[in-house]
Amino acid sequence: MLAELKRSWMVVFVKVRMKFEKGDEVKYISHLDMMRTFERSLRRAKLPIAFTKGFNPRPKLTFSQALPVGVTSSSEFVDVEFNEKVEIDDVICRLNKYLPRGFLVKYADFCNNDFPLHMLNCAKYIAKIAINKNSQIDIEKVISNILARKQIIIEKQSKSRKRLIDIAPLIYDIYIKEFKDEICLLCLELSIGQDGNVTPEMLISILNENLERNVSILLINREEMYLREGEKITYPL
Amino acid sequence: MKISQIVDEILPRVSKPTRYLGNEYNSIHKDLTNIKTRIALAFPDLYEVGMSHLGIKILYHLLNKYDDIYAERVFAPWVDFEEIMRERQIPLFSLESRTPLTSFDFLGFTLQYEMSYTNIINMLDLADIPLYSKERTSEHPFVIAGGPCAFNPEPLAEMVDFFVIGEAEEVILEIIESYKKFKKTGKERQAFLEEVSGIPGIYVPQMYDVVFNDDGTINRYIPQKPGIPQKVKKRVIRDMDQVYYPTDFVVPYMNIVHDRAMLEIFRGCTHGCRFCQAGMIYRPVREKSVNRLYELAKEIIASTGYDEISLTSLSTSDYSDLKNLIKILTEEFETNKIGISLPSLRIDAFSLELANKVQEIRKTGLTFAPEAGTQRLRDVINKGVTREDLLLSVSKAFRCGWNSVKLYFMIGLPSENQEDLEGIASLAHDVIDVYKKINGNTRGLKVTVSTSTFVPKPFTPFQWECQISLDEIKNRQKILKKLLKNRNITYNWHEAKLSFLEAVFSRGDRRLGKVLEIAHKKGCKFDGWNEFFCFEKWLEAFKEAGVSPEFYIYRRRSLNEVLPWDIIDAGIDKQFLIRELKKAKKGIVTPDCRVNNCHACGIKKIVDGGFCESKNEI
Ligand code: SF4
Repeated sequence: MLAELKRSWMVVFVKVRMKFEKGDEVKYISHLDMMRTFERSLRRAKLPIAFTKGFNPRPKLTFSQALPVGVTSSSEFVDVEFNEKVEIDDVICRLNKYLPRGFLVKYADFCNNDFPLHMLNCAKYIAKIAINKNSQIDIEKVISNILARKQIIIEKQSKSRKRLIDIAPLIYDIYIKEFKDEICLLCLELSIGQDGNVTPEMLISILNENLERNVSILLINREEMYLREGEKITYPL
Repeated sequence: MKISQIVDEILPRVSKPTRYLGNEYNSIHKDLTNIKTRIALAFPDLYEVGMSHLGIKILYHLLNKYDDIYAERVFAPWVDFEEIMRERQIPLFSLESRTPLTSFDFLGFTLQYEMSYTNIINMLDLADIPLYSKERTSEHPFVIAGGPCAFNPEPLAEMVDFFVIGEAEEVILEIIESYKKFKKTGKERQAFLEEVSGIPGIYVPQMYDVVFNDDGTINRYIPQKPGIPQKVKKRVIRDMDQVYYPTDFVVPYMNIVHDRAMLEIFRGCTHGCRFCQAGMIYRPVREKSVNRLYELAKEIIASTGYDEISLTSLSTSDYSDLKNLIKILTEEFETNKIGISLPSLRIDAFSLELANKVQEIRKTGLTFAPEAGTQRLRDVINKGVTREDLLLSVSKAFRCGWNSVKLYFMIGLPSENQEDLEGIASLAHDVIDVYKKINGNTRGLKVTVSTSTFVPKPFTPFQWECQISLDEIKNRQKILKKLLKNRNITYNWHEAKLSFLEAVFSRGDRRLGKVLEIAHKKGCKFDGWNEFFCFEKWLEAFKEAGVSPEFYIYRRRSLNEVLPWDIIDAGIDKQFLIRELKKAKKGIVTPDCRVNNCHACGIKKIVDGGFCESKNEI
């Protein structure tokens, strides 16, 4: 009894925040499937994961906001709790060895509870799109029109019903990074999380409508995620 | 454009693209330059169904152990994907290297259930491989098939080049060995078929002429050349500890039907239920040792990272040292919270004791399979469960806090009458009464009664019997619906028309190939899926092929009729089946031969020297 008590006192929970990449090979893996993939990879790596208490113990993992299926990312986050001391380098090295190809932990550090991942409210994407040569309309103009609009109502399909939402306040910025030979690199800064979610596809489909359906998506990558309070930006790691 | 690029383009447009990725953890990707033999392992259903199936996994990893062999997987694409494939003229391809199936040496189908046959035809069609064996040339792979339905191979006899009968771990390597030699000779396709027909366990249908009688029954099978076996003996693995078993299973991304590690603990079953084909064709019983299982379990968890390991067999409770095995495994896995699940566990006092340690029961609730409603009928089918057993286990379970019970029955069993149907209902009500006695009321109680319809299967004592008519199936379901009206009871039943077709194909002969071809042309596929199943098209197909389904379903065979599957020797003596049928008619039970005497089922004769772990000799 005493020994048990003592043991449970000594259990130290160590929380590690990791920044990882979700590459082309795994861009179709849904958020839920990715969670399972990490659980299994941690187990294969024989890392000492901590579990929730109760009837059906689950590994203590918390991920940043779901990435749309089909989009790659160089900046995803997960907090993992361990029930033993761990070395950061060792965690990174072992986990990378056992993650499926396409996932790569780039950076990790111990973290506390000051800045939980659900506080992230902004994501930056780069979209590579192709615009048909025949298009006479100026994309720059279309973009500045969109940014100037006070209200942009779109129909959003959630599980069973459709509802209308205004995404204008959820768009932080859109600009062209590069435009050469029909290929355009578009940078989009959009709201995620509790304030509301806009996916890059939604915006590109609005662009497409305004460009007489001459746009096709080649690639989308999430570049960064952060907390944005006015002009102030805080990174999770 | 290469297939791979086109697929990349398609993926964003289809549902569940992870089905087609082929790059899951532990999937095998080989450099093609050193590969001499390529084999596509095909499962004629969706990825999530096929990936839940143990046989294809064993073969995948077994074959890939060899440097010059490359085995890849292929499943039936879902309709949205198929539509785009046809539109853009992409042939069916393997998941790993996205190679068209025509470039393979072998295309091997798993035959798990009859209602997947149209998917096989659809997959051949998508792959641009001629449907009939006779039409294939050196441009095409050898189309082979194995699995439980291969025990009556005849409905697919004209489409499959050859069948593997029984357990494939050894014979598949013998086939490939023989293929390597054949390839060097540069001989015709036909020469290889002749060659393999000499390998034990291989059935090459086109090497036999089937002579029919005027009444449509079979007169005899005539081997076309000397040296071709009169009967094809099934293959049996002798030593379960020695036989290859994979530990580096592919770990799917998507949530599949059985999303956990599978550990096969033994093969075979000797309860001898008279309707059950698995109980006959997988004999003899052979166990893996506790030590071997312990080692395998550790390796599987280490290499897959699964959080659950499922001990699979036909009847888990029969494993001789189950208690010890579970103790060792729970001790090993407790700290890492790895659950152990025991599907097909017989619920009794002992298993309830285990239940706390065992996830499966916790998650799915208790399941019982009395199969028939009265003791009389249970004796007829040789199902050794009594009402008292059932109620005792249920009451123990209720006392432990369970409140949901599933009961499985079959309707249309030989000799079933009104009383037996009422028996099903009264068992369900008895279960409610037990709950009431213990808890004072029926609050929270959920009793689920499920009925399937009896389908007579080859190599069972009931192989000569008939299925009840479609109207009668519906009638009996209606009676049960009425009798089971109770707010604590949910009643589920199996689609009658599906059972009807299963009954045709499970005991069908070669003439059914034509029906399959026509049904497929009419658009039949994924027949097991409600949204696609179209019975009318099937009836038209029978008509156009000039084949009467009634001939196969409603005709009681005489005991000396030549049956389509008589070409196969499953190791079960026909005389034993006849004895069992006669006992069934008298309602005499045959106890399990592992705890009782040997009943001379014949399995000892199949392997040279004979072996059967059941200790009691006659
Ligand atoms: S040979 Fe005898 S003991 Fe072995 S399975 Fe058959 S009946 Fe049972």
